[in-house]
Amino acid sequence: MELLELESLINALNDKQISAEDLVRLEAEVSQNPESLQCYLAMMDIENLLHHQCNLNDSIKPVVLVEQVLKHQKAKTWKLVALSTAALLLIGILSLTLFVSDRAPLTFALGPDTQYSLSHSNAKADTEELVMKKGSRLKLEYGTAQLTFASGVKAVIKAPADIEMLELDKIRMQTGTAWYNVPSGAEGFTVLTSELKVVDLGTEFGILASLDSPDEVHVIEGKVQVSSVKHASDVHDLVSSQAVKRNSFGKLDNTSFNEALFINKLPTSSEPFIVLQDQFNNGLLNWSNSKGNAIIAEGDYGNNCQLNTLGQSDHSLLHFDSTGKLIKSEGQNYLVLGDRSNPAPNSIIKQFKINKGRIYTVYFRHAASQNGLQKLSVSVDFNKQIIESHQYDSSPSRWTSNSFIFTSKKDGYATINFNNNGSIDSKDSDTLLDSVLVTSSPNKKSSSK
Amino acid sequence: MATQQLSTSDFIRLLTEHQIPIRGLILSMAPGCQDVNDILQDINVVLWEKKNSYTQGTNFKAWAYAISRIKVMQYWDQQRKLGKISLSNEFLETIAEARSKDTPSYLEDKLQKLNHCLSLLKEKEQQLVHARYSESITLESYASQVGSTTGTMKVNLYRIKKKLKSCVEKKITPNSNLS
Repeated sequence: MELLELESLINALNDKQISAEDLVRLEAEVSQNPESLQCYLAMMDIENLLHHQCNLNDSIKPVVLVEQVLKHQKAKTWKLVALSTAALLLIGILSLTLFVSDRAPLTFALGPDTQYSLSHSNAKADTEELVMKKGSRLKLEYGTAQLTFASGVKAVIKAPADIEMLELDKIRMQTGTAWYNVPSGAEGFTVLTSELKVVDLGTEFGILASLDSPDEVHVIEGKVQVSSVKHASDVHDLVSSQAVKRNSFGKLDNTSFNEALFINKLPTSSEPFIVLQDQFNNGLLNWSNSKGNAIIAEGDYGNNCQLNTLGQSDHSLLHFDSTGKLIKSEGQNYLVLGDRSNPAPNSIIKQFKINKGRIYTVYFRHAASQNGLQKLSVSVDFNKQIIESHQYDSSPSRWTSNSFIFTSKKDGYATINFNNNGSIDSKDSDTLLDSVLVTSSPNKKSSSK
Repeated sequence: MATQQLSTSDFIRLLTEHQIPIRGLILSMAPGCQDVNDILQDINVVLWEKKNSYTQGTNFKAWAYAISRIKVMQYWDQQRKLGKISLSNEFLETIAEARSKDTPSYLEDKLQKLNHCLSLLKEKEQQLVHARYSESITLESYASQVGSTTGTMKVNLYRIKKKLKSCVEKKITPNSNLS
């Protein structure tokens, strides 16, 4: 038999799509031809090891479920108890699900000004009740939610978030900023993001999961095991005040611990939520460079320029919180629009989601380098029509904070455009931009549901 | 000579070390079986119960494989009773015999090579492999996420697995490209 046919038949066998006739042929070939036997074993090895690599934290441990021991044993009660206790204590892998009823739900409560959608794997299930079961998916457009698991695990999640309950002690969180508290007895609680697998070992921790930036895990107290989805062998055991972040190779790097990113209870009053923010510490990853030159700079900018990000009073080491208050920034990067060989306009753009009737506030900091006054223009488009436009003077060697507000009249995606329109090229001075933040809050004058 | 029994902790260590080889034996004797984890758990229970019959210093793998082999045979007996297509006992014996010749470091070496080969795959291919083999996501839901069909995903997976098999066998160098 040709190798291609042999591999194809083995693959069909693995997929349970082999006919009885082909199975007989395959059996004969593998039994009689040593090379075919080696090929068969090699393909099965690939199956086995891929399963191992993709389930690294589970597959290397022997799983002896007490339930199975009890079912299997025919001996007297005392022997059963002794055996099951030994299995529990010594092997230490006992699924929590043995003790938790399948019907025990995950309940959740919503914070003020929260927009959510809930779906269940069972289409007939009630989507009005704030309950999640296996297969349920909760999406937070904006706002906050507090989850309470049957095991006692608690989570407070900030939008935008997308959470799916895989098991009673395992959830997938594709997006969201979440704080988790796992009580004693519920260790092993697992959160999967698209980039990380986080297994709790008895603790309090936070996860940032985003489609725009690398996922992060911050351990507030206790111990957590984090592995990379892309590199399953890259496993980190984190303890209190440690944090990791996925790097551009998909592996995990240590990062600054920041407990303030997370909230551990639902807010009592409605606060603006962050729609987008960028301090340009991840390059221009989240932006399109629509025209001209836009580069990331760090620290001093040019010989004659007083601007720097390294500690002087007039620096860019500031960012905004969701209420517009200035806080310490996370990095030293900023964006430069234009240069000597790229006359204005130079621009960057990014889309963000807007909802009808809500108020959006756009915050940013800007400056001009070296010799002259420059201009920064900011516009917001919806369906290619400008709905808001502003121009600001950027002072030489001085960072300035500005903001503006607009109300959305429709649901959809808006595009924000920062450019240096009107800047004077002969001055050999560039427009600098940093700390962009857009928040959304309810319009208290309009009726909200 | 008096037989020496293993301490419980040593037994658990051995059992842990042999989880991947035992799973490999099950997969080879029951390819495509969706109950592999259940069979493995069942085998673990039997090994645990029979741990006093294992003598320290003897070949743990041979002892565990002998028990595993019987359990997988029992699985196929059940399948036959249910009228399902099954592998012949002769074939199963051939596979079990071949598996018994695997050296202790065999899978470890292969795993190292496979890890390297996985890192050479494109990101989308890695994601597809993860979707197929991770117990946290199904191939169906992944196909729907990326706007494709399960059938297309299976065809792509087959190509990827062939690439991986070939890569592992070639003992490639770290700078090789996987094409």
